[in-house]
Amino acid sequence: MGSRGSRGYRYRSRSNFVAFATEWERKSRRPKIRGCQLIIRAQSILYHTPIASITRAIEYLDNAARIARRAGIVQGVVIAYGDCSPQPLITIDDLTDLKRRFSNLTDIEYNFFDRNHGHGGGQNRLLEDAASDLLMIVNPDVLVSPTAFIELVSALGRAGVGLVEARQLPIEHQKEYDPQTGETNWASGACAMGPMDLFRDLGGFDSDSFFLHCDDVDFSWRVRLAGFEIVHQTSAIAFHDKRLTNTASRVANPTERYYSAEGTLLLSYKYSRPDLTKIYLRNFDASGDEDHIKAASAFRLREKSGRLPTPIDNDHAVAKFVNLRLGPWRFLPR
Amino acid sequence: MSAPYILQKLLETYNTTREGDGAKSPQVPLKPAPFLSIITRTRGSRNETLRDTLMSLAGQTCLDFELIIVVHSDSAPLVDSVRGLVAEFPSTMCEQTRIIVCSRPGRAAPLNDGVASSKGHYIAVLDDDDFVFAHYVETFSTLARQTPGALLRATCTRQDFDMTAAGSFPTHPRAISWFSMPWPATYDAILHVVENQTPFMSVAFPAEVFSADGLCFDESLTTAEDWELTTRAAMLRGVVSTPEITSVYRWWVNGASSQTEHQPDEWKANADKIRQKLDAQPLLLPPGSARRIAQLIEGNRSINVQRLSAGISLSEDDDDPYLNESAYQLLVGLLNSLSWRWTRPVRQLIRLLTGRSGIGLTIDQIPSSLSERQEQINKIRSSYFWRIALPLRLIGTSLRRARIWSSER
Repeated sequence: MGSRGSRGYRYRSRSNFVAFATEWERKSRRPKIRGCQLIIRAQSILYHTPIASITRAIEYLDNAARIARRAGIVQGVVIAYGDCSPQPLITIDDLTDLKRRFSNLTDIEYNFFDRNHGHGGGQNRLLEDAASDLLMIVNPDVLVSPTAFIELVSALGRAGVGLVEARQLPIEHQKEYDPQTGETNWASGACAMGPMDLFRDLGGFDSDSFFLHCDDVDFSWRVRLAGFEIVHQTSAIAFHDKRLTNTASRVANPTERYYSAEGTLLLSYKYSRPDLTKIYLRNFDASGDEDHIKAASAFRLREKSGRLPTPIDNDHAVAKFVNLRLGPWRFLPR
Repeated sequence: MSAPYILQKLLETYNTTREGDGAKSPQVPLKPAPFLSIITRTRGSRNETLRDTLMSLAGQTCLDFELIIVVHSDSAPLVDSVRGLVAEFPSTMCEQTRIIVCSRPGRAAPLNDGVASSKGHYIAVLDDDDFVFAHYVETFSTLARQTPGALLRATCTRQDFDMTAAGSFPTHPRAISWFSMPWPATYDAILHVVENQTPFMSVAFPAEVFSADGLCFDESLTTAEDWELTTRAAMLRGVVSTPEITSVYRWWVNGASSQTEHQPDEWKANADKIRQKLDAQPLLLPPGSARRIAQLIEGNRSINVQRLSAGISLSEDDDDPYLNESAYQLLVGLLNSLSWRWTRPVRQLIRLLTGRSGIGLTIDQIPSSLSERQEQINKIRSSYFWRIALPLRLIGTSLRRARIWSSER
């Protein structure tokens, strides 16, 4: 595995994942697509998610499973929900009804955690008993396009690809990607798929560090440190209900603002950019933004209590911060 | 033009039963009608973006709509490809969708066929390369409850895209900019007489526009058919607007689009035709228009007076009594100015010595037309004696300011 990719995505990954990567290289890195043998597991974490949204998302996952099975790409698709809400969102009767209605799915699993583990923590718990070839991380309200499974599996079938993300609609993420190969810096957890073994071998999400946002960036960068590419597959569409303000700016709620800020601080620290951590802290302190100030305080508390992650990627092979942003962007959002 | 004549013309214009070929009323529904009929015309050659359009409709928070895809093509394979694309979607989406084929030429023909096939209380048009936010239908529904029977107008944003072809990978749309807002959030009836400021998918028409009012898309127009209908329908029904952004106009920086398929001359010709149509009929304008027109005229007058003062020639179209009077007052001011009066003896002496005529204009000899008055203003301003008297005028201005300043203190 040498460096590859283009337009700033070159990496020379030889960190402490060498041994794993070599072993992974020895086994086949590509999921063996033979006839209808693939099992896909789609995992979503619920938190006060309206049941109508969940049902609609299942409808489209079911439909994508129908299309993929008809094409001979998959043998089965399982959906697993981890519910971090204070009260169960789905009853046994609801679950029975969903399984009956959406019969193209092999199974629908529902786990009520009775505690908010956050996104990464919830995903890791669902992974514990999971068995499939491929794992898709998807937001519970995302609608996937009919050929999403086919397109995502197709991208994973290319040599060296470890993680693939779908294109979001109506607000496409501003991350740069190679228009020829789709190679990109990281994959959004709104809808991304990779080999199950890779998720396990990398230990899933770093839920000790990242509660809600940036866990997908962290996981992506660890995938790349392991020697794999991340691909943006434009032909796989994930409709993710995001809107604009009346002046065409992004709408961000306080939770998103806080955890994004916290995640950015932790990423810069974990990926050996203490210089950037200092800049972020200074900027957040001076911003006057309550959520940013809280995030800076929380980071300092972690620092004092020794709960910061162990820095990795000391030679900055994969983590790219461009103008204080996570990786290069095609355009600036407002 | 007498008042009864205007009224008659108004009724004739806005009580037209049929215009153009192929116009038909929307169907009378046998079962409860959907709130909204969405018409998407396609030639079957943009399935990669049509899929986005369908996905954005799949994600609607309000599902009370029907989708009518009008395939504007004779080609069976292209029609089949569209059918195949729709069939990939869940049955709920398929049941809401109908595909019809239109083989008549012209951009507006599939729209009229779509309208004739529609059953909804309102009708919107969404092109096969545009997409909408999740609350597109819901927002129209809210507006309809607020002001039933009016045109419903939400706000549209623009995003730049390129269509990337990448070797063996299929072509795909790629966003290359954030969203911009080139169109206003409210409908300005007067501005729409000048140009279109309402992207097609940002407006929903009450079905009565086509049935009771008898309007249809002008099939003789090769572009801007939406502007033409929206302007006429808005005059009859009024418009209710919201600043909510609910749709995205994809602006292609490469690849085929209506901007590239139709040359600027064609766009201009269609725009001229639309303006001629509007000019041939009385206009119905909403409350507040009188104030807007007065503001526009006063603003225009103010600019023209400034242009006059600066010596910029005005065109014949700018001639109005107010401007002519302003030119008269400006000339009187120049002729009565100290600069002009004090240099008069010198000018007369030079005229005697050289035999040149010079500007012998007096107040009682000021010409009557605006163009002649402009000419005299420019002659005075560009004359040698006016220019050399500049220091005198500066001293005079300074003295006047000093006097004003000291009196205020």
